[in-house]
Amino acid sequence: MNFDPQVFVDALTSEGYRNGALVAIGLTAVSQLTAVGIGLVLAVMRESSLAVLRAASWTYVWVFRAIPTLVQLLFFWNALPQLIPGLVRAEWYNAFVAAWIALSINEGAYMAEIVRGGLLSIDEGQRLAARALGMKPASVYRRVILPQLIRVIIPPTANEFITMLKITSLAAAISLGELLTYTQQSISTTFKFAEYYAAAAVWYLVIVSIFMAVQSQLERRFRWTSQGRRAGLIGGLTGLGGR
Amino acid sequence: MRTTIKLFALTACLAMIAACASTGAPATASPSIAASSATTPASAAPTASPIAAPTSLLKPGELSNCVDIEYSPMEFFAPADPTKPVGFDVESYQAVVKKLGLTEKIVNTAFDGLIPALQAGRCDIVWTALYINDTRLKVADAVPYFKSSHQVMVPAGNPKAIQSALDLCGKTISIQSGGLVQEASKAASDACVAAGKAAIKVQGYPKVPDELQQIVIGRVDAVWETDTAVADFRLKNPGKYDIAFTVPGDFKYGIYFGKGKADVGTALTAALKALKDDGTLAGLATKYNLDPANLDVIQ
Repeated sequence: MNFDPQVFVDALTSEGYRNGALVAIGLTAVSQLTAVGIGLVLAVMRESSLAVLRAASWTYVWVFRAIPTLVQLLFFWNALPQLIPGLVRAEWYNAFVAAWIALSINEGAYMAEIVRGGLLSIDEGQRLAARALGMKPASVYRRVILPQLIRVIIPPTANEFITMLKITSLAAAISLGELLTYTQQSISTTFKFAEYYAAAAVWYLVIVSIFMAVQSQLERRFRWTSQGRRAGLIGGLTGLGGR
Repeated sequence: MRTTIKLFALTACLAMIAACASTGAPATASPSIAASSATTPASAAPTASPIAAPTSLLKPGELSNCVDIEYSPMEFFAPADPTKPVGFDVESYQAVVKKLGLTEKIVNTAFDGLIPALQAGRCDIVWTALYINDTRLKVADAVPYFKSSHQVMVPAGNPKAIQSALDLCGKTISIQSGGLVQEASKAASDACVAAGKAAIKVQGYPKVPDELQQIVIGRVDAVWETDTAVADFRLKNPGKYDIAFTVPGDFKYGIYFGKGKADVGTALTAALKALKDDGTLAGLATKYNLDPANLDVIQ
């Protein structure tokens, strides 16, 4: 067997891998959280009584689910500045921001469907009952629908989170190097495949393990109890709700 | 600079075969070995007999070639027929195959997978504008076929007055990531910092078209690329871009083949020499706006 443990350990603990991992985690977190927000808005629009909102939501999902993620990344980095010249030299419009925007917009379309699925799973009677109790529509959403919705969409959203972690490697195409980019560059100068890929695999396992720990923590917070816990959306996410 | 040191090492290797052998590298690691052994049978049989085809091919009678077909003008798909690879490398390869009486087989392979394909025995050769450098020579052998240098390309009129690597300090440039330019630009940036200036902001792109697009939209001040790619890009965008300066130091494109397969190296060298002498390669170079003088590395 031709495997140099020293190369593997050096790669695992190298600054390049650490920085690459940080870029991957950071981009995943901001993009996926933004996408969850976009998905919530789109899913609610889809249930709206206004036809124009329903159509806008449907069109968004149609367009951004259809166009490959890589094309969207390249579009936001290489083509958009051609259309909006101010973006080219804008200090804030760096590769990270462009990737954040592109990945959020793309992922938002998928999240919209996940949230819509969650909404469909909540029986219409819940809303009617809450309204019958005199709650305003906004309160119905915040106090009745959302807490149940979040519980339902956590597992598929965690799936998307993990997928997003791997999708961030596409950002290498717009000069944003993350974990996998660094791995491939190391290999292209050393040709030590097994060692570098194994080191990258270990990093991905660690990162996904952290994600899964966060997931189970979230699921615990939103676990169904009939004890009348007053943790709404904010309380549930931050743990500040009254217990 | 690191790149320069590597070049020196390579040159030393080429000059002194014994030195290479004494450092533990098998004798066939040096391109010059393949070159010199090629001349032996030629001088033994002075008649212009057909060149003997290599015997250690993966599939008898076929010289398979792994190519990363996206590097105009060296290898790219014909605009009229997107399934047909063309370019200087591709057409030179076809001429060599014909000369050796073999059949051709081109396998389109991503850049990162080129040398591994050779190691794994998926192709007999890799002929796709790859520089000869020591890291690659550790795992494969090569014969040189074309001289090349790096150039720094700027918008027409050179608005930032870039004349040398030090003028790039604090500027933004785009490069292709993972290659020799990455090492060279990093060294240049380190030199800026050492001289008390701002580092070069280097953006690395996996693909050359994406790298070149950055100067089109004006995101970067300059592009640091090979002379072949720069010549092609300027030909397609006449009058829009100038060459700020040519980076000192020559590189050689090489045809890589499996380590220790001296018969492949011998046949390639003999065929290249014959095609250079009869003007075929010079004709192809002219066809693709390349300088035929760069063929001098074929000996």
